[in-house]
Amino acid sequence: MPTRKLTYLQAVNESLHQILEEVPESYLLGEDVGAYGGGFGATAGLIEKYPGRVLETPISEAAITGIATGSAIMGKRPILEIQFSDFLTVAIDQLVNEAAKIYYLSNGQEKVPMVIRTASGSGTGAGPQHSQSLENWLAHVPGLIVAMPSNPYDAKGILLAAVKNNNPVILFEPKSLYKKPSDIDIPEELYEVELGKAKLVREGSDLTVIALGRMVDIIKNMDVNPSLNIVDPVTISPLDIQGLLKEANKTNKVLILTESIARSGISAEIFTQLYEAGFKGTMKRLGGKFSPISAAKSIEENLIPTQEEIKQAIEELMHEN
Amino acid sequence: MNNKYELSSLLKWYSTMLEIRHFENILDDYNRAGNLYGTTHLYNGQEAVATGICLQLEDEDLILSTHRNHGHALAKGTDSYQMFAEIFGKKTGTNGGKVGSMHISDPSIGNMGGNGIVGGNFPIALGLATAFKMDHKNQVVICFSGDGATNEGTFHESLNLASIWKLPIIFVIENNQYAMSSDASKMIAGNIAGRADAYKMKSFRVDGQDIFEVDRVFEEARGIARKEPVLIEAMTYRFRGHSRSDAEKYRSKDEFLKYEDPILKLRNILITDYNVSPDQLALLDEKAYKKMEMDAKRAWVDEPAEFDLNNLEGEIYAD
Repeated sequence: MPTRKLTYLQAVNESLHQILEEVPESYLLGEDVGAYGGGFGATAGLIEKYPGRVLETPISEAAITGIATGSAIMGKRPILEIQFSDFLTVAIDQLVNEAAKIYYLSNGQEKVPMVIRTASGSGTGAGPQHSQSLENWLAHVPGLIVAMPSNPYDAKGILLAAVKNNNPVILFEPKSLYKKPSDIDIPEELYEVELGKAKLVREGSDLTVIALGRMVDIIKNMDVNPSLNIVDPVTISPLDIQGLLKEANKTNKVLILTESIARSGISAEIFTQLYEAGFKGTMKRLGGKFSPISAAKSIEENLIPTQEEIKQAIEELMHEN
Repeated sequence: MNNKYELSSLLKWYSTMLEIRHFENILDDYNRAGNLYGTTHLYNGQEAVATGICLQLEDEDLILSTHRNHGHALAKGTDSYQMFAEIFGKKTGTNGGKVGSMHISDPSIGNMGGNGIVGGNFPIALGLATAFKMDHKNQVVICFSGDGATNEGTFHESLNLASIWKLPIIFVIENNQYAMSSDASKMIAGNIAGRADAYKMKSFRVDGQDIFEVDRVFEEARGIARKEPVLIEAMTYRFRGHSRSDAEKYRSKDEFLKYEDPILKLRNILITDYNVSPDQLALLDEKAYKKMEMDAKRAWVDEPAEFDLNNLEGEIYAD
């Protein structure tokens, strides 16, 4: 299978082209997904190729989430772009009370096979209403599947898995990674990356780092002494706790890294579930500070776990018994 | 006067309205006897709207309803025994008995369900209608809501989208004068039918107590909806409280005198203009009551709803 390096955005774009080609029920909708190419360019070139299957919508996040939901009930496979994940707040009733509930409400008679792709997180100076990491909000809701691909390979493959899934799937794409080229080759063909399965990013022996989204990229590229066993949950809900536990037990020391705010967050959930699943080693977690994200680079970069903080946490874990 | 109608159609209206009325009165009897768990929102007084509209629909036409959905569900053809079972929390219910009065659905006959969120169904209607349009279907989506829902943002987003995309939706707003306790005349700027104008959408305002008017207007609206969306504001009145826990402190006891009972109104027309005997109508009444009473009794003794706590994933997620 031919391969080459692609950026995260190129991988998503290629996946969308191939999905529209291969899945006849699929279609795209969202704000500016036509000639503009989507908020960040992920939908470039699609409206020209599939004019009837790329629907440009007004700025009406609640209504367009309902369009995805209602058409999914009728057997379509909508892929909705919500430009910034912060705007999901405007759609949250439709997502939480409608899309997530319909399978249960209908006693299994109606299914909602829809996908939302949304750009999330900090690192672009977009300020407090365009930089949040709200993935844990949705992970709290039964009926939704929430994933956060951390690299172009996963981004391309998980999109197909999401489109094929018969439930609402929300994909949080860390937008700070959009323009980064992949460090591994991406197959030209369409392939699937399984939802609900953690991935070992790099095998190591001293300390297991469980990192999500952008933090995978950061930890992967850090120069630290201990041998790191890096694992990426990929899917936040359902969490592959057995997969994470297996990796945690390899080193008996765990550091959980998230860009999203630590307080009441997914890091606490992973921490607790590992403990409940029987993990006996030592754990620490580092997440975003309890603050809006600043537009100023000098502040923004300190609001998520910094390299210094990560190094210090690793050191502390290595010296604890 | 109303000679475009076959008597059999009028008697079908009459029976359907009575079935809705009796269904809910029996439900209320169970409630008063302390036998009902959870809430109910009765449709008493509004029966002509659901009946005049849903009896014109085919199974493939879809309705979306609200928390006050029993009338729409019954008129669309949802099984009354299964509805009682749903509300009683029985496994034989329309929805497995798991979700209760506000969420009665039966997609097999085009009842896409009630909704507990005021204004929550407008965006879903857009999606159902988008699928119809993509598949070049000739069917329509009927989205029922109350006056209160027209103050939600989703109403405005959805009217705009339905209009620019020319979706086959009929928005039926049942203005029963109150959003819970809130008086529509104090809560709504302008009027509801007028709001459609802003979205370049045709609209009608109809006397919802007069089933002949509802039928006539809906037939016209249905013709329009094959090309573009349309809105009907049905002026009506709920004779009962908002829900079972409403003490009705916000309105006077005799206010209802301003509104005709749609069932009595049709009854008078049947006797006066169609020479139907009061005895024949009493028999229909009796028949509707008996059916509902038997359905309720049968549902009451069914097995309670079940949920597999050891397979949460399977209960909540589709394969």
